[in-house]
Amino acid sequence: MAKSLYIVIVGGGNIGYYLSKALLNQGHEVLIIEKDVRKCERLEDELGSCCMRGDGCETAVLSEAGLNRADVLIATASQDEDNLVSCQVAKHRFKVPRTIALVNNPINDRIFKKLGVDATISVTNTILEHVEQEIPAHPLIHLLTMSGQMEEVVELLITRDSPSVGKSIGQVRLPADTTIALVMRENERPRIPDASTVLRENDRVIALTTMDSEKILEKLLLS
Amino acid sequence: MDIDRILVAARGNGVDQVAVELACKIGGKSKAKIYIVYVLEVNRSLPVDAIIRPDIEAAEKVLLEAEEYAQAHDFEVETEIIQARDVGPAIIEVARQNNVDLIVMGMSYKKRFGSFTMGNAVPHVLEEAPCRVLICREPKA
Amino acid sequence: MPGTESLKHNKLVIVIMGCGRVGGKLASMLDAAGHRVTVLDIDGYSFRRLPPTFSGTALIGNGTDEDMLRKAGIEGASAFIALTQGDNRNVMAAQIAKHVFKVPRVICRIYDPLRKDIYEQLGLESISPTEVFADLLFNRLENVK
Repeated sequence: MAKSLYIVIVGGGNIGYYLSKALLNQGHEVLIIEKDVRKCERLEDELGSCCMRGDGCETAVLSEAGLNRADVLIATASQDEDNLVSCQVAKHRFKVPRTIALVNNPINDRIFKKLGVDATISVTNTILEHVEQEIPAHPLIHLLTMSGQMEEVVELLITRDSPSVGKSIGQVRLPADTTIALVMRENERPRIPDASTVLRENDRVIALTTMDSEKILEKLLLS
Repeated sequence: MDIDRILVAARGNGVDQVAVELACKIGGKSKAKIYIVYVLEVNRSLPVDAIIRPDIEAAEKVLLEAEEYAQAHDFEVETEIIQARDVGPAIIEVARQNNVDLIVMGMSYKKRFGSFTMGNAVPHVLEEAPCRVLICREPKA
Repeated sequence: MPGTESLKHNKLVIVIMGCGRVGGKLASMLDAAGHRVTVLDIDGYSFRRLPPTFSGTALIGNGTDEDMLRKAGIEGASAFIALTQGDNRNVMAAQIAKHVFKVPRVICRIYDPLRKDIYEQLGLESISPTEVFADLLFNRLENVK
């Protein structure tokens, strides 16, 4: 088996519970920090001595939880601000190498990363991405977010009124942190473009970009 | 009341020897087998299997004394040190594994914030033990 | 107060999150001093604390939401003060104001002294009323002796 990790989960709700169960099964050491006594008791009955009662944003509680030796902290509380603080305290006070936060408000995805959280999971965004992929002609689809970074892979559909139709990639002044990785055209094999590749209507473009540059890219290629 | 296997939960609180003596008295007629288990509670800041020398040495000393006493009274004895996050659940687990008929635990008289407290382990064992439980509380200091 | 004089000379645009006793009082003081104040609170009932003479803006909304902060005019603000009852909400909103909107002056109330220390180390200007008040009482009692 791979190296066993010490994983601290803040919040003993449904996500915290199922997560711990899976991680314990994989042989990791898990501790759940939960405020509610009754939830703690239920978790201990089911999973053994792996729960601590307390506020997962408090330094004293996190210190007692042995955060100094934790490999990962996962914040699964229901309020975004609580998850942010748990991750930041873990990161800055206890030097936990990897912090993961659940976010409800999809805008917080970007903000949390900016504020030092290594990875965020947004249920709202996940659902949105699935909806986007269901709509055949949606102009911009999020395909992948690189873990721990601000980078993402998106797919864009060039339409007739796109400002980039007929222009070469060299002519479109892409942001410095953005690369067009692939151009897909009907009845042709996907190709890796260079500066001279001219974009046409109905091209589907796969680009590597950042959350900050996504809007600029959308403007340049789509409208 | 058939008592063939007795578990003494030692905790290094100064009451362990009394608990062993009690176990020997109760188990005397049936020549019960005595398990003496010392549960070392390991702080979360260390892995549960961390080797904490001073704690282990203290536990070994308590167990050695207890073992000598029980052997001197002609009992079959088994001793063990267990490292766990919580004392209560660890005691219950050993009791189940060895299918004991009785758990004997000593506790000292303690007050916290002005009121009497039993700590966590004793209430847990009283609530969860599958067998009989005997708690010996020390006299007030 | 030494700060008041210098404030009067240039009119500041200030966003205050949380219209409790402190937030309401501060808002009305700054308003009376001639600054442009916007107060945010998730509960409209809190605005009862503002005096009838208050000429600033009172907005119902959550200050940890970037969109809401934009609506409150954070983009042109010279100062942002986080004064809700929740330490974590304050910390989050203050960091958004500082790092996303680059507001020049951000002050954050954090009741928990330990949490205050951490965020102060991270460069967030923070005040712990718990600490300030305990110190005040301690000093008064010590001086009586």
